[in-house]
Amino acid sequence: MISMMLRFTNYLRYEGFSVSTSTLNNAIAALEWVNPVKREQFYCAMEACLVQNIEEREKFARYFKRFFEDKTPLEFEHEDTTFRMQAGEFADQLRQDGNYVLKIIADYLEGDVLKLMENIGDKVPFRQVEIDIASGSGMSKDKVRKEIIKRINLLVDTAEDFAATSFHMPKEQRETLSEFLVDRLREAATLMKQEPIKSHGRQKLLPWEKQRTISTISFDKLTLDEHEKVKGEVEKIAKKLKDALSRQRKRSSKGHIDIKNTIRSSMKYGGVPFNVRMKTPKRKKGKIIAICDISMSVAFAAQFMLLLLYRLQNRFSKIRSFVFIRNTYEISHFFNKHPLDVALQKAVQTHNIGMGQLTNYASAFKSFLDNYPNVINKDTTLLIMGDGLNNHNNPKAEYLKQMAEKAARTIWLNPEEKQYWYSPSSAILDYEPICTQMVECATIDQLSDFAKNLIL
Amino acid sequence: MELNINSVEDVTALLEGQGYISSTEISTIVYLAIKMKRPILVEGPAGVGKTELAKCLARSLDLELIQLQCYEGLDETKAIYEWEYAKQLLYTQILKEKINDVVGDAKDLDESIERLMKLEDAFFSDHFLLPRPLLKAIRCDKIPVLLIDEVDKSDPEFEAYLLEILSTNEITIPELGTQKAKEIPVVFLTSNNVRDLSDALKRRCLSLYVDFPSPELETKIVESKFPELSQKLVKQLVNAIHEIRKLEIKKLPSISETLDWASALLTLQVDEITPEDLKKTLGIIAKYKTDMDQVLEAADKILGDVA
Repeated sequence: MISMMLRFTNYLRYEGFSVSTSTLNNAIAALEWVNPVKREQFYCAMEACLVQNIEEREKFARYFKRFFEDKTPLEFEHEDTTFRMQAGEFADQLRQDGNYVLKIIADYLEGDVLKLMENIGDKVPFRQVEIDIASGSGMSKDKVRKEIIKRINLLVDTAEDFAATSFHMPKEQRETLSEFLVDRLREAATLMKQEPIKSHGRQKLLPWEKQRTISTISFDKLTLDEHEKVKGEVEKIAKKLKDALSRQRKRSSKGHIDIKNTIRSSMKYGGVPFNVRMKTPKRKKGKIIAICDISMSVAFAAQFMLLLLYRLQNRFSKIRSFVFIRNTYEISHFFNKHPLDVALQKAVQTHNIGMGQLTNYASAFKSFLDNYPNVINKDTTLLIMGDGLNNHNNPKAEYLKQMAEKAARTIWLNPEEKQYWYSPSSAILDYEPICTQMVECATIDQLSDFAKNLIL
Repeated sequence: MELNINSVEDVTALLEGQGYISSTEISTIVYLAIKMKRPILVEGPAGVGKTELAKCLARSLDLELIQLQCYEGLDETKAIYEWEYAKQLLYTQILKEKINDVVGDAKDLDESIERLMKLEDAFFSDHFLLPRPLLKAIRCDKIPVLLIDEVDKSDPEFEAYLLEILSTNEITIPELGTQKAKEIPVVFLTSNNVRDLSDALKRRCLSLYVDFPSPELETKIVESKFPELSQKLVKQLVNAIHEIRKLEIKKLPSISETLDWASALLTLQVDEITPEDLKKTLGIIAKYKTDMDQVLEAADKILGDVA
């Protein structure tokens, strides 16, 4: 059982789980107390010991099933020696063929599920199998997979013949052997069919992108899979910032001495001021108005910024969010009604915002001033997220100036890399002098830095 | 001392004896934690019975429950131990008169100090130590259940204190030395995932995720707590709660809300939940105005399928 556990944890590690030696020791120790035959108890014990993040539970369930249930070698152990020897002989016959696929199937028949899974996994698909079958033939991976399934199906007849001609075994045992071999082979075929190669948007990374880490890639260059990861990163940043805020609050509360309270608390120590009480400084909470361009070029960056802002909303007295392409609409009410992820989707989907149109900053700022004239006041931090590409429209910087004059500060977040800010169709040159700050916010690292500066 | 638990089924039975209907997952992990002497980190949404699990286990085994409620700013003086300065000061005042007896015949200052230093230990002894929950748990003569509630609300620094205690079952008090646990406590840490706990802490615990229960389990829970309710009403209530959980609302109703609702319906002597009953008791299951609106909008669907 310990060797089985080692193989299982190796398999989990191979699939990207972080399983430390001490965690593995825990899992092995748990085996002393649960009966592996009671599958539910065994599963719960393994999950409790090996899974440390809630998000990994679903994946773990899948891998557990694949390893322990799709394999099902247990009944093999209950059979007698003759049975095992016969099954072993059939496996040996397959091995003698010298074909790598048949070797894997032979190992699978004898209970080694790992090799088969390595060859159907996502990360190293087909490895040697591919070379073996497809060498020189130019077969696609899909064809290779089909070829393997075809071979397994052919082996079913061979296995039945093999069992039927094992005359030194009683008839009943021959039938059981035949059933066992056929079942295992069918399982192997099912496993192969189950695992289509997953599609995660852009699959192949370009050569210069191979060393990429999510934190430094521009939002518009992320693959679909990476978008989800970035969302997770944004959540982590929010949590880290909250921790940093709480530490800062604790430090800052050690400000001025509170004489009255100190004297009062010293009474029980006979007037000796053991506990010096400090005044808690008033927390300054600003109001945030976030106005985001959600045209295609900027949409994802805006989403990540809003996600981060709303995760930190306790830090602000109020957050109101607006989106625009040509006209500006308030979307704050979606955030009041729905959980954040749903709100973001609804905000973009249900508004008649005019997705696909060309951005016009001047008309967007004008419509903001017309429709929401009293939203900005002297406590407001105005955040504008946009690339400034105004599609050769008149920038009419006076509108932005009117907005900036009302606000305490105006920060423009530009998800474009700085080298592209001043293209002919961009209005950044006109808007930059009006803003208190214009910062590049093209990557998760930059977004994190900005949020840190905003709240700490 | 060993607790008299020999199987997962024993745990289920013990918890059921206290009115806690447990799933195989919960029972297995509690059983393992007791046998392996490991803490359990219980995570899950608010109100699914994380804290109640520890309380029921303590009651069922007749063990002392020591609870530490975590919050932002919790430090070792509130969680582990504190010196009773007031008491020390009081004793100093009382003994001031007697100081002359100790140092009166000393030849010089050095000797006086030496004599006083011999008495120093008297002021840093158990007599002046105020044990807080964690130290209390370590010093218990009988195995206690230690509940560290909402650990995610404490500061990350506090986790560092917990690491020593959870991995070695020891607490170091500089003035007194290391205090080793007399009996290793059964430790429950609960978390609502307000912030990520450190990997070091997670590694030391068995993880248990308590989610909203399946309709079957929730029906069993309601029936065990309110046997007076008709089967039909329980079924309608559980179905309604599960329909509400499908809505995109801010605060999903948990088991505690289901039970509160059942209790309210029992008090109002309702036989079948009508939209009017739902409206009257809405505050029990929905906690935000926008959530209430959504629940009312979907009232027909929520109360629809009554078998």
